[in-house]
This record gives sequence, structure tokens and C-alpha cells, in this order.
Amino acid sequence: MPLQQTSWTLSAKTGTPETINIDASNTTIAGVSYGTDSSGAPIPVKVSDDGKSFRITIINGNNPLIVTLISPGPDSDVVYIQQQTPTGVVDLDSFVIYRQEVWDPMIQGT
Amino acid sequence: MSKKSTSAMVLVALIAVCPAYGQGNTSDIATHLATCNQADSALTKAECQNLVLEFYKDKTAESDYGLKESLRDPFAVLTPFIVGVRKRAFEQVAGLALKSTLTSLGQTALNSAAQVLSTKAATNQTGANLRSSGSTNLVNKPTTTDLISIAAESGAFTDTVNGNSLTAQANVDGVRRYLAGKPFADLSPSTLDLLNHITLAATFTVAQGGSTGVPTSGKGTSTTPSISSIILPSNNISFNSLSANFVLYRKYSPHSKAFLSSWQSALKANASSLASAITAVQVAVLKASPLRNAVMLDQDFLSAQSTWVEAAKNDENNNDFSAFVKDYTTFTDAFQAALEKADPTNVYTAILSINTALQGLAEVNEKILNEARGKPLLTFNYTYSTPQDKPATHTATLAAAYVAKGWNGAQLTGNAAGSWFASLPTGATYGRVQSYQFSGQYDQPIGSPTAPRATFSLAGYGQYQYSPTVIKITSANLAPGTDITLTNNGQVLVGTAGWLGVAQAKLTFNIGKGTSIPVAFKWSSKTDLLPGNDWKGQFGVSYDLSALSGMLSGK
Repeated sequence: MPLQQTSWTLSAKTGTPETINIDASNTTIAGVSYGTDSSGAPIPVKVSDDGKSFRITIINGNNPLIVTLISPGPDSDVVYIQQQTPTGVVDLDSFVIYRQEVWDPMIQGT
Repeated sequence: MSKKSTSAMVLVALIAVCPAYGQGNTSDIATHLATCNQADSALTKAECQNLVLEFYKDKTAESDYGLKESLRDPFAVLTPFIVGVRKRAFEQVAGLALKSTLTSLGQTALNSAAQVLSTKAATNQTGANLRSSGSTNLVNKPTTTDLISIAAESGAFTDTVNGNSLTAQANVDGVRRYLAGKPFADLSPSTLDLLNHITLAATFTVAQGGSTGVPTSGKGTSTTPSISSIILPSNNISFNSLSANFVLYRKYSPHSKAFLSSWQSALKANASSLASAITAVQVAVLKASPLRNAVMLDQDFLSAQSTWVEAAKNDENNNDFSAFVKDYTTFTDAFQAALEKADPTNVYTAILSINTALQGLAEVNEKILNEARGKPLLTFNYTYSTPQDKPATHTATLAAAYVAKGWNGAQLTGNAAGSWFASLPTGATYGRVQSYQFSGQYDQPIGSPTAPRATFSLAGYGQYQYSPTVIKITSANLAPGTDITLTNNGQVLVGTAGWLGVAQAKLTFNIGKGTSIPVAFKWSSKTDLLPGNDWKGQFGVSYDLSALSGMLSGK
């Protein structure tokens, strides 16, 4: 089950694991954080070795998922943020990236 | 260049650099981008590429899943959002009398990076090239200043007489960015960035000793014999040369195995600074979370969002891009109003903090890319020089450089050049081609390769001259009382034709903050006027203004 749209955020049931991947020519994921620790610092999320996907477990409340993407260029790239479902691929988002970009949707854990 | 033609260039570039817009008709995409860029909203303009991507290709507004996240939450993709609102943020923060504090915060990363970029190799050329009097550079370097540099030098390579020169260099894109108040690593790329490949330089000869023949107007004392003219010493500053440097080859393919390997190595080498930059972005985004949560509860905004989602679907169905852009602008206006309502005091402080963090990330990424591109650079240099007492020449030089991996940042540079006379006087006994030249240089940074305390250089140079050196003469060159009538284009040949070799050892001290001091000595097999070999010392001081703090702002 992919993340669902609310009026403003993406949402899923708290505790649900979600795998998100990117589809892009040259862009890779350089870093991901989701949620904060007791001191308020961002909690890093492990990125796959190929830099194309990561997995999070939904936490309660509204928290930004912060995905840093980098591309060597020299041209712009188009990135599709996707989730795999039993029936196919769902595009959560897409955008043009030049060298670096940060995708940071609010995730609502319900 | 007019604003209109600049926009056209940007549109063409956007199409060229974004083949993933897909199967489309290029003129349709250009029309859509032009329409979008007419929007009366900075945020809408910043989102134009993504709006065209949605309208032309993705069409998520009509999909079962629904309109994509970044078009429902402008905060979800940071760069266009920050580019779209930061100008207003700067204005608002200035209005709150916090500008100096925040601007200095925002510029810290930029200026630090500017110093890194400008002095990274410590082998940039800031002084005159070989064809200019007083140069300390036996070999032209392909890399120059990112903004403006000034150098004062003293010495000579092939000339018999030492020269003293002042050289000012300006990178065309660096000056454009400075005048426009833009940082080096802008978050909004444009075709004007290509101007970065052009550097202009002018060299002036200073404290130049000479003599001038002056006619007399009579006797000062009755005992003085009649003298029609005398020779007076002259000392002046004169134009020596003008040159333009074009980077001919600095491209790379992101699909090439060699580049990908270099890219991965550069990522690994800079993992720590990249992680720090990413964390800075994450912290800045997290600080804005309460604002975003407040917007989520704003009923006016939620109503505007609902209207926009429905309108986007209709606009796509009706193939009405103008309405699509207009409806999006209405939505983003409501979004900005909700942000300001949420926390009018801190909203733009938070946005400027994200802007600073993003630009820090861009600088680190740029550094990684520059390291990954450690391939030979090939540049073309054209120099027009008018040396004192010699005919003007044109010189074309190809310069290639290679940064050797695993040699602690050592750099090899090679030049091939040809010079020809700008004009041939009537009755010239020599041909148009003056000489051709080959040279090579080895630079070894001392200390850290990224911030060396000094750079040691060894260089060699060979020049084949088709005729002896041509010297322009006037009556001032003749001994008093000489009974010779000169025409306007009087010239003589001095020295010998054939090969001339030069070797140089140089130590360039990098004092920091863009200042460097080259100290060198050279040996030449002969000089332009005299046949015997020659030893000379050379000295200079140069300053690269791109390392100056506070010159580049991120407005």
C-alpha cells in the first residue's frame, strides 16, 4: 500500500514499513532523514547501496521526510519518486533537478 | 542583451537540457515555458519547469492517485520553493532590521566556498602571459580567476630587457554575478553561466624607461650651438597586451565509466563535508516544521488548495496551460499568505536559513563535481600585444592541463602557440609569421593539495623564430648628429632567427585570501636582442578578488 494523499500531506498508518525509490537517469539519493531524536536532531535513514531507494517505518504525527538528491549533471535530470504496489508503480512526485534537490514532504502517521 | 532575448536563451536551454520532457514538440514546450514565465508570481516562475512537466507529460491531476505532492505542497521540493520566495524573504527580513545579521549568516557558506573555488588548485593564472612584458608565467594556465584578479610582476623570459607589468583579469560570468548580486553556485542555472568559460585580461607596462626625440625651439643661452632636436628620457605606463581565454573543453558524460568512477571517488573523498551539508539542510527544514503544520490548519489555504486541485484537472482536460498557470498562482499566493499568517516574525528567517543550507549543499556538490572532472582542460587563448619598440603581434595558444591523481595534487600543463605580426610594413624583409612556441610546466603543491602553502613549478619553453627580432626605430634611436633620414615605418632586425629555449624554476607562495607571491629565476639560451645565454630573477604579487569576503551575496 503506497503512501496516501491527504489534503496536504502523504499519510500512512503508524508502524507501517514503506519503501520508496527514485527513477532518474543520473540522480542518486545522498541522504535521508525521517523524524527526530530526543535532542531534536534528524534521524538518518539507510539508503540502498545503489543510492536509488530507502525504507522507513511510519512514525506517529506529522514529520517531514527529508530526501537529499544529487546529480553530477551536466544537464538537468527528471526524478520520479515512486512506490511499488502489487498492481504496479505509483508516482508520488516528480520534478526537474539540476545538480541537487531536496524532496521533503510532510508524512502523517495516523 | 535585452531581457527578452535573455529569456529566449533561457527557454532554449531549458528545452535542451531537459530531454525528459519527453516526446513533445519543442515549440510547444517553449511556448508553455514562455507563458509560465509571464506569471506575476516569483514562486510560480520558479516552478515553471515542474508545471510544464506536469501539464505536458505527467498529467497527475487527472490520475487516479491524484495531483503530485510538490504541486499540492510547494514546500515539498525545496529549490524552486526557496528560489521563489527568498527575494521576498530578504526584503521582509530587511524590513525587520535583521538584514545584516542574516545576510552575514547567509553569506558565510558562499564566501568560504568562493575562496575554495578560487584558490583550489593554487595553479590558476593571475598574472600576464608570456607574450607580455614582465610576466612570471612561462606557460599559460587553463584556469584563471572566478571573478577579478590583479597582478604586479617584474621579469623577462625572451626579452633582453626586464619589464614591469600590471595585469587585470576578469571572468565575464564572475563580474556578471557580482554586479547582479548572485552567488557563484546559484540555485537557478541559466545559459548565462556559459560566460564562466570566458576570461579577459589586460596588461600594462609600468615604470617603462625610454627616450623621446623633441624638437627645440631655440637657444637658451647665446653660447649654445644651434641644435634642432634633443633626446629626452620618458617614463610612462602603456598598454602592453589584451587577451581573451576561452575554455574549449570541459564537458563530461555522466554515463562514462571513467567519469562515474571519478564521481564516486570524489563523493567518497568528500563524504564528511557532504554529510555535514545534508544535515544542515535537514536541521533547517525541521525548524520550519511548526510553520508547515500551522499552514495545514489554515482554512483559507485548505480551501484554496482544494480549488486548485480541481482546477488543475479541468485545465489539463481543456488543454489550457494559461489557466493552469493562473490557477497555480492563486494557490501559491494563498500558500504564502498562510505561511506569513502562521508566524509573521519567524517565517522568513526560517526560509533564509534553508536558503543558506541549500547553497552550502550546492557548494559542496560543485566541489565534488570539480574533483570528479579532473580531466585535462583545454583552453584557447588569444593575445594581442604591442611591446615597446616592437611591431604588434597576434598570438593564439592552446593550453591543456592534467591534474595527476595520487601525486598530491600535482598538475601538468602543456602549451602550443603561434604568433604572427598584426601588419607588415611596405617593403618588409620578413614574413607574416613571427614564431611558434611549445612549453610545458609541472606544478607541485606543497602541503595540502586543496590549500597548499606554496606551489613549486618547473617549466620549459622552446620558440622557433623565423627572422631576427624586429625593432621599430625613430630618430630617437639614432645617435645625435647621425645623418640618416627615417621613414614612418623604420624597422631594423636585431638578434638571430632560429630556436630559443627557456627554463624556469618558480616558487609561488599562497599567502591566503587569494594572495600569492611568485618568486622565480629563469635561464634562456639567448634573448631577443642578444645571442648569449641569460639568467634573470622574477618576482610578482597577485590578488584574486573572488576570495574577498562580502563581495558575493545570495540575494
